[in-house]
Amino acid sequence: MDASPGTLPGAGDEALRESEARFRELADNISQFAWTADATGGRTWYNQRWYDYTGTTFEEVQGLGWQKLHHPDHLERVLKRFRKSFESGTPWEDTFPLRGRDGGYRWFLTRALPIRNDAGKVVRWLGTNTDVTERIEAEKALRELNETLEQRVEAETRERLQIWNVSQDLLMVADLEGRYLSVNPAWTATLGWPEADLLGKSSQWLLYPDDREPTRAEIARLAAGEKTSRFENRFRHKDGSYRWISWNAVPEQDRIYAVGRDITDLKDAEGKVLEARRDLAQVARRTTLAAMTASIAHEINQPLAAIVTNASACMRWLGRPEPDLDAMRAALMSIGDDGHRASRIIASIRAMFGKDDPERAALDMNEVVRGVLALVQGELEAHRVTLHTELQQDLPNIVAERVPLQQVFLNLVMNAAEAMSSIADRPRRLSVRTRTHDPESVLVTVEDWGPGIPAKNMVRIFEAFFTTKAQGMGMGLSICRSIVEAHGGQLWMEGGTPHGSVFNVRLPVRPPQEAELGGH
Amino acid sequence: VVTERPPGDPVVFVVDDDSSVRGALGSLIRSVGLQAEVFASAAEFLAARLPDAPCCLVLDVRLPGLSGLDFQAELARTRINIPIIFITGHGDIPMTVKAMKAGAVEFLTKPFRDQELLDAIQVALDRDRTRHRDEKAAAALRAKYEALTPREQEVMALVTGGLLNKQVAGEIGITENTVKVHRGNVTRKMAAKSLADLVRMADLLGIRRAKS
Repeated sequence: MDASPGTLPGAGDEALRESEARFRELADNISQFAWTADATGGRTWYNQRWYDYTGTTFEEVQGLGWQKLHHPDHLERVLKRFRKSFESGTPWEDTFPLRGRDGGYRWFLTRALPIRNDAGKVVRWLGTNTDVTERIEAEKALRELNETLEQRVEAETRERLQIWNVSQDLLMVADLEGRYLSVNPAWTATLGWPEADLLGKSSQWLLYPDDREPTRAEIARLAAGEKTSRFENRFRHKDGSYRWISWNAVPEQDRIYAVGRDITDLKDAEGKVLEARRDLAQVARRTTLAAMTASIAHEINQPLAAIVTNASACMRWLGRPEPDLDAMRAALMSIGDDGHRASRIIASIRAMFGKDDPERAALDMNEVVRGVLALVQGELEAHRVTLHTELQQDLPNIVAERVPLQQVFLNLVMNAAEAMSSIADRPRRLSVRTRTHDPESVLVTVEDWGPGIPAKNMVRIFEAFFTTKAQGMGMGLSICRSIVEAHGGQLWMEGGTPHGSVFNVRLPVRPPQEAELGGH
Repeated sequence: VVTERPPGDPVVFVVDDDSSVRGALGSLIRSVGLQAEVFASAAEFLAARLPDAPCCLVLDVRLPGLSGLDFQAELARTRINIPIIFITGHGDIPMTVKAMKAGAVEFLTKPFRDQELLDAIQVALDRDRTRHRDEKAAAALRAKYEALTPREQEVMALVTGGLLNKQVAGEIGITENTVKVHRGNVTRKMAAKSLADLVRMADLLGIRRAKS
């Protein structure tokens, strides 16, 4: 059933009909619902769109019948504002859901304006309902999205704050001068200083004196845009002790963000390992020294014993009723010879140890090798070793420390002699050669005709504590190798031909400057 | 090793790989009227014949190949009971203790006083002289024992084991009178002055046998 907008006052029939038709055409084709109501709000007309949506008849919704289309949750609020507007004659505007013919609700923005007569009295209302469901839902979705986002941001902020608070690592934000803007509680836990003592200042007052300049330089690097990775320095704890901290830091927009980890325990452990290594090297050196002392004592005592014994014999020959002049002459000759022999031994020992300065000097490797061979001559004879030397005449001098290198060759020669002690079916031949390896280095080889070293042990013999000797500590070759490497050289071994072992020592003419020497 | 020549003058053997030292030692030993024979190694010494005379060995601890201590052990193993005086260029206490425990006469560190060495040599030669005499006596005793008939040897073992003639007779299944005859022969052949003397001889020979 069609509803009529009612009679418009002051219009002629013809004009009225035409006007009404146009109005109806317009009203039915707009996208909104349109309606009219009397001064009290009773609906008098709806456009077609209303009926299309609601599926109602005019009878059902005339007057205040529209209320039944409202959602019960909203009705009270809607009526309150509706009454207020209609009673006061002010425009009504509200947004609420209306039930459609399918039973579902959609949201409508509702506006109603009072139409007044010339006297200013409200004679009727003209209203529209615009479907805003999509906008409302979009808004709702947006609102929900915002809420979720807020919650997430809040949660993340909370988590990040938690990380900042519970981190065992030192976290820090500083300006490009290194002044602390923010530090986390780990600082107080690790270093004992409260936050207030740290902020606004750089770390300089806390640093170990030697670390101040490197730290300043590192901050300058950061300020220049570089990253810091594993930079280590020492911070003074409030109790006066120092803690090693390892830093990673990045610069970002006039700020430095840094993470520091207390590595004091790690450093201590490292220090202990180094110390143990030094102690071991010390023990090995002392062992070598003890062996050398025994060797020297033996070498010198031999001629001394001969001298003393010959002198006694001479006295006794002299004391006989008929002194034996031939025997006395022979004894006195021996005394002279042995005196010279003792003196030669002492000279070679002096040549070895006399220049006891740790400085590197230009060394003639031939001289070093000869000195070592002179010292072990007796030992080699005792082992029935035939010595064979090929020392290149114009060997270039190398810059090196004398004593450690002598220890290396002493070790290699003694090893060779001992290795051959079980050989009975062939000469116990020891060859020592020196030659120019390339223009920049000298090669010394120590070759024996011993049983050789099984291939499986060839690499291991240079390991500390590895030994094939019953009484060995297994330090000799590992120390030798570290001494040679400290000189920038190499020590390696290979099998001899047709038997035995060859130890090669290559030493550069000029060692690397920064290398620290292994033996003192 | 012991030769059958009549006992001669004592000989001092020297083994030292250092030619100066062994030359000087030889000279010193000869200067006091003793015979000296010097060697550069243990092997050379072993190759030499030991005389039938008191002798001793002056031995350097540090020898090529076999060490002095090992050589001492080797000699003991082969029952060459020559007294040893060790000399060393660089001795330590464990080495000394080991040598002395193994029966060394003396352990001298080079350079040593001549008198110390000569005294040690005298002690060693005296010890060897005694040993020599004992060995000769033992050899003579064994020769006499081995000259007995098997039955006489059996009777000697049982009699010195404390058995009465009658018991000996029962033990080996002969008459008591025959035992008496054997026993008389044993006493005469062994030149025993008494039963006690015969028992001492049986002890030295290690043949006393108790009743089974």
